[in-house]
Amino acid sequence: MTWDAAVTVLAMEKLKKFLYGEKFESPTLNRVKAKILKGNPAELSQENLEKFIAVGRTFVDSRITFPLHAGQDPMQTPSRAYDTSLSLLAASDYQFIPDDLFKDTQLRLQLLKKAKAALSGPHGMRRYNEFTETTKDGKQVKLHDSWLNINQNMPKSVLEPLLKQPVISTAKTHTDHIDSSSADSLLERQGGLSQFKYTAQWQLGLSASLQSLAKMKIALLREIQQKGSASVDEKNLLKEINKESLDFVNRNVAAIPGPLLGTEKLLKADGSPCQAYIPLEAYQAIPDLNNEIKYVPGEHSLPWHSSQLFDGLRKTLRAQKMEESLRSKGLLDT
Amino acid sequence: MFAVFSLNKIPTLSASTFPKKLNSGENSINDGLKGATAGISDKAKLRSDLLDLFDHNKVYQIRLFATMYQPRHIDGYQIHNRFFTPLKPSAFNSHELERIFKELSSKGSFKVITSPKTGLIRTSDKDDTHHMSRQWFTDSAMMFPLQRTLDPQGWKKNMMTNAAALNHPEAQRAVQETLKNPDWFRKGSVKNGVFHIYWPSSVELDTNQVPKPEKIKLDETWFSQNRLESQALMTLRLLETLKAGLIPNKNGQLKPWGFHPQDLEGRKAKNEAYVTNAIHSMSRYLIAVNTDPKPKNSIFILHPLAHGKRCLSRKE
Repeated sequence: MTWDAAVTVLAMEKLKKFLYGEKFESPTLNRVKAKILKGNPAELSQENLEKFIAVGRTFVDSRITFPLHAGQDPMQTPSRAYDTSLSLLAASDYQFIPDDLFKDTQLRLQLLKKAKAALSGPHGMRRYNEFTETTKDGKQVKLHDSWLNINQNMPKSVLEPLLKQPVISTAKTHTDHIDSSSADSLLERQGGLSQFKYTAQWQLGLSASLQSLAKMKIALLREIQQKGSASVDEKNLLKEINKESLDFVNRNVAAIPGPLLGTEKLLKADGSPCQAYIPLEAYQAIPDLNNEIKYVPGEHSLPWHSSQLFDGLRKTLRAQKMEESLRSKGLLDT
Repeated sequence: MFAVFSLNKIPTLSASTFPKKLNSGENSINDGLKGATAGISDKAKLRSDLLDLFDHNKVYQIRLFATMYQPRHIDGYQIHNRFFTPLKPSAFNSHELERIFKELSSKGSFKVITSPKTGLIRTSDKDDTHHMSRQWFTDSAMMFPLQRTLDPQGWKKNMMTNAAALNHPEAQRAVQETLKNPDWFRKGSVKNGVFHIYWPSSVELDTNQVPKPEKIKLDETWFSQNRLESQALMTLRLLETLKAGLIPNKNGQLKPWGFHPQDLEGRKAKNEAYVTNAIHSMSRYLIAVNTDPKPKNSIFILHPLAHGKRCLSRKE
């Protein structure tokens, strides 16, 4: 998977810098470095780390940088072009074009916008779209994200009369998660229980996108600050980042649960109480009493999402203060 | 016997029949049954029927809630609360952003709940369920921005616990198998790899408050050890935490959330052993998985490109 490869590269870049790129010395630091290098394994030499990083970067280029340059889709896996992991990648410290900050920012923004267009719904972002996979017996099947899908929390005794058919699953109830993402098990989990159009709409992609935009803006403004002026292209890029930042601030905060008229007491999709202001993992589809599909607060809160939102909002604020400061100095004048 | 109710025509349910706390329905029913079912012969059947009825009531409650649930629609956004109105482009300024950030902070949107013993965070408000009471390495790694800011000591403990987990005999066995023969990971069972999930409740500390790797219980039910994200993220975070505590920044300062010498030496020397070995072994593991195996009778040569692609494709 592309995200796994990219984060492996990031880790090895960090290791190389820690072992070979720091001038500072102390007895503790030297001892720690020696312990990481115990036995002096060949693969942890500076030269080999550099080779490994270069090759890993080529792999990521083949799936992100080159396709985006050519106006094509990026690729998380061969069968699944778009995945929330691409938003995590856009938000990470991974540099697609390390020697050109402007082009790197352009590319990161392109990745973010494409993922947004492919995965967004009104209540969040799908983890991934429907895709085709091959089962053990060679059949091509269409799969979708069934976790927290419609009816996820319906017990069998309720679901079967609703579906007017037996629930096709070895799980005792629908809430017994089948821990497998192989095509066969996903099919089993999906049997009669979920539909692509009622995929849960997740929040992790929203907060990662906000983090990514803030990171881009801070980097771009730093560059402008250092140069003492902004080119037309830089100003246009900043404008585009601001437009997306506004959208993702709105999307993220709009999705934080709170009482609404008529529903002062909030519930989650599994019937448990929902705490206002605590960011959720997802919004889940539920058939209401008129059998209309509604997206209601999902089963879990998710501190991981809170962590990303905290980082994204805080850096967006910091970036905005930087922009206002540069504007006051006339560095961004049109 | 209870009939299956039509979902649109649920009867009125009396408070005495049903538990008040929806989540603890089974327990409440069991408690209620103790006194209420004396003299009834088929208690198991009655219990099953009551649980069915409880399920139906729970489903009715959430469907009723969904019927009344109306997010606000403003400027193309679905707003799931009353406190926020989408910002217009003209209001996208530091004043408004600060106001939103402060409001969310004061209302608890950014809180982190850390175990004082392990530093591990509560991964969800539903951590009483099987699924959410487990700990992924990724859950810990992704708390980096929030936990290190709000609870720097907790972050350090978190990283120490995860470093100990990566020193678990099963993790180290998977590393050794992969180093001996990367095809063990690449072509073997989907279980062939370093684990991703363990049970926080199993973490035990020694007398120096250092976690004991061998006591940590793994989630044996998880289907696949193929992904590399967990180990890569944890290696990255351990290195960042070491750097923050051992290498001063431009202003000569160390970060409060970094591993300082006192976290690694003396009584805490095992922490250093676990952290350094976790980085050492996971780095070699990640490289081995994505690199050609050692050619027979020759020195180690890296040819990561071809196998890296093939390997990553297979695992996808």
